[in-house]
Amino acid sequence: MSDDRFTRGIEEFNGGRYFECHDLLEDLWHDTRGHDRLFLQGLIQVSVGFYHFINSNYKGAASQFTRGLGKLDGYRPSYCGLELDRFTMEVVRWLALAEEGLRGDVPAFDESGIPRLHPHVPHVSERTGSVSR
Amino acid sequence: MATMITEECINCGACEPECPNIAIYAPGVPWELNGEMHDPLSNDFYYIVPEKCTECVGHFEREQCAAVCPVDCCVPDPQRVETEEQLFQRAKALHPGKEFPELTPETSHFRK
Repeated sequence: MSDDRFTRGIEEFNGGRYFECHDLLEDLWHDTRGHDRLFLQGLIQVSVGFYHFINSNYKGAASQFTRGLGKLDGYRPSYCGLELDRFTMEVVRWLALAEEGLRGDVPAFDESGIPRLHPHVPHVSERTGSVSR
Repeated sequence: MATMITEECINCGACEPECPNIAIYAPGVPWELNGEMHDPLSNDFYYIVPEKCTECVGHFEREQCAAVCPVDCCVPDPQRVETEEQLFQRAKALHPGKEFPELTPETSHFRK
């Protein structure tokens, strides 16, 4: 995605500024149609999930993680240059933590463990030289 | 049923200017109807006043708050189930100076 708001939104996410990430990607989502739209919504929902989690809103976090994961699932293993297989697996772990919070157990967590969005690196087979994406 | 905003709201405020009935308020802001002021319904996140919500019946094909919310936190309130006719009458009461043509799929989500 060539739009500058996408790049900046990912930077905000990786910087732990989830509201700002949501703001930028929401603006872009409003202008986007087609296949990219649901992908952006999935990213927004995961970002909002982390915003709620950090603010101890575990109900909101669990719901947003669930919604976001449901949308991103259709874009794995990678989309728009972002690696999504590992990222979504890590979000599932945070969903479990949010569910702990929902049960009344305050989850122990370290914010530095929140996953980041990394560029997808195509794997090149050493034997055949073929590229898997 | 009226539309409600759940606690998933992140308070971005995108929905507020979209409401044709001025039924959406920021957290902590008192709401108004017929010149009377009322206490806020939420101090934590944006809220919709059920007495002013028509689910956009009479105005648009779907709820405009829900249409602009990527968080999907503007949802039907299961505690307030209302018919299209009830909502249309409310729209007319809220906008006494406005002519409302017969409802169509473009002005009522019930007609889809």
